[in-house]
Amino acid sequence: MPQRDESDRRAASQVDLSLALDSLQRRSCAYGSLPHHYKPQYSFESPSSTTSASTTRSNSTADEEEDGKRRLHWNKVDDAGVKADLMRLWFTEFSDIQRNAFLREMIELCGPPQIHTLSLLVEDQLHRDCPHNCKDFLAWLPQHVCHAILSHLDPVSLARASQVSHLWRELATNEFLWKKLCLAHSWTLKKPESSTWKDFFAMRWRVRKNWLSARCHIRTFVGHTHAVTCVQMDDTRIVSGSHDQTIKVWDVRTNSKWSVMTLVGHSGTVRCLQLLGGESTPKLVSGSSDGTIKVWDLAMKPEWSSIACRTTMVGHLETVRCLQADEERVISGSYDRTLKIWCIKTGRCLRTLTGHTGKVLTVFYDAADNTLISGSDDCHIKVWRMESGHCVNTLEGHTEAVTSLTLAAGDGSERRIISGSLDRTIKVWSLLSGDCLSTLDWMNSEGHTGVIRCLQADSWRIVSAADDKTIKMWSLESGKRLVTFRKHEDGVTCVHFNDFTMVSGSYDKTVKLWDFRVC
Amino acid sequence: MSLNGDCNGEVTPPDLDQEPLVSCCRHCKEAATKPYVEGAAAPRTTIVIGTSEGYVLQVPMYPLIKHSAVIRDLLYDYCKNSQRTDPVLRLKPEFDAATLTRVVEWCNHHGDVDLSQPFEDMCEWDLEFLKIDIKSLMDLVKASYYLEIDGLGDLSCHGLAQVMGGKNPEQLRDMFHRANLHGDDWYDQQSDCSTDAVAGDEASETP
Repeated sequence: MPQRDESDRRAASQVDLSLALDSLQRRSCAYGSLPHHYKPQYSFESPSSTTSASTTRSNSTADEEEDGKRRLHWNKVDDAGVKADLMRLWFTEFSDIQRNAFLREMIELCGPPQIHTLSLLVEDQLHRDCPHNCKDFLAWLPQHVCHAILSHLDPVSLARASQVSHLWRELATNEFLWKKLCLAHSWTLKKPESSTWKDFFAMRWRVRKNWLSARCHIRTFVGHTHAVTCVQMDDTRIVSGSHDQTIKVWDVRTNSKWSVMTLVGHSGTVRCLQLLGGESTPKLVSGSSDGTIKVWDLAMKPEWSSIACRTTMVGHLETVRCLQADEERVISGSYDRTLKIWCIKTGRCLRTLTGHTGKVLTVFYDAADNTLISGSDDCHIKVWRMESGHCVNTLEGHTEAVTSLTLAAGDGSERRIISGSLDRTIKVWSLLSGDCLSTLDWMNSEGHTGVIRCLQADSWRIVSAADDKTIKMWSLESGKRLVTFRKHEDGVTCVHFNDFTMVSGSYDKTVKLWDFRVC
Repeated sequence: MSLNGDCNGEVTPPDLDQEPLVSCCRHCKEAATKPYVEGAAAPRTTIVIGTSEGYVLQVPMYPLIKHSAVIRDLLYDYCKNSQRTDPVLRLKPEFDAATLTRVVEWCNHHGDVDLSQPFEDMCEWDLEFLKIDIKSLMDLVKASYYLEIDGLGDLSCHGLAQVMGGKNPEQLRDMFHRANLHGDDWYDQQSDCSTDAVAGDEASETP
């Protein structure tokens, strides 16, 4: 009779239990402090009734419900209640280490419902003895460790972290963090003394975002009667040369018609010009299809513009197509297939470089490398050594005339030549080896569909203007097109940019100023 | 490495006669400069470190003292003090076993790194090593800071930053703050415009 056996065993165990309880009660007076419904009651039910309950439990669901009710109220005499009391007593006698071990074992025995109950019960207790905001590691870690963590964040995450709480804001507004971020990014702007590194970074970020999304304020300067061929700017003025044989100097700060200075003197199309800085003696150098180069003094008042021309350099036999000037000399390229180097003070020709077999269309001089590069109608780019006047390298690759050239920083110390051409492609070359590194064309890179007229590059981007009425900005690193600017109604002939603004001239006779400082 | 879960502190002390704990530690400054080769005979020297749960950890000595100047100095002091009977090295503050195990694991893996060189970039093992929960990461940051293990500190800081990255302020608050106990603790919404300009962007759009 298995049932009989079980009831015997149960009875025996209950005797054991009551004995144990008796002995415990003698030893401990902990009962006084227990809630009343946990007080043990010593009148056990008869073994048979317990047995019947336990045997029917497995069979009928009605009894199971009743049993559940009984177990909810442990003030009724119950096997489980007694055991619970016993455990409680034992538990109070445990040492801390024993308690931990016991709890660990008990938790292992728990199923999902118990774990759930447990989580609800201890939820409020979990952080009872912790310091305030124990999860907030920035609050309790030493400050320099906090900064070490924050220094691994990208700018956006860092800014967001500074919005979390006052403490986080204090930590995340640290000057060094933002300075590091400022210096980490390759594009350079001058930081004003007054602003913090964070504000400076944010300003830079905003300007850059505006560049990348082509969000800008555009001003249009109307006045030329023919296509604009060349344009330059500084902080206060824009100068533009045109097919109408004049140079106009526009004041950026005002829209007044009267503040425009017109420089008349060339007897042909003004093809190229360069603005030379210095607030005290601003100068302008221009080259024209009449074969001359003129140096103008811009310190003149507008009404005296007719006597602004200081020097005229005569020597080229045909159109002066391109020039570059600094405080000492002017380097010019001409349709007569030569490059000439002039002294800007005396106006004398110092040297003539020959070698191109076609019209020289573009020239770029880099003082740091002491290297001169020129592009020509004969599809070649030539690299010249400035001091000797020798041609060091000839780059072949373009299938049509090279219209524009610039030098840009490459990986490490390596410099790269960027060239634009009539064949509608932009090519990137290694200055040292003369190899073509990449080509940006219409087919593969969503490039220009028209002749490329002008190029400029800085530390992170290339800007190109073309006959397809667009200006495109490219990533110097990847060669990806970043953004396309469309506003001109005809081909764009020239473009010049700095960190905040860009100026462009077009066949549509206008000059446009793109200002990216807007919010 | 073994985790002795003995509750009553009945830890078998490292056999001082056999294990050259004392003799090694007298030269531990020099020993630390020796490259650690896994599986070689010498580095089997172990030390016993106490954890905050009352356990002790028996761990290889060389990788630890190579990376951690704190443990090196502790051992040095420990060995100078000849009256010491407690075989267990007690750190202050103590760390839990899981954290210490991770520290040791990292030190073991980077046992043959030349410390005079700047630390190289994270390897795949490191990135795998970082795949732990935030609490463990915080403990790891704390431990590597107190034990002055620069490489591990860098790594765990990077790990934490990774967790924080790309989250908006609300998510960060959820993760790192408890219920809003102190209302004035939160950043007031009148934020400055430079923060907004940067924070408003997508994290992926980093220039």
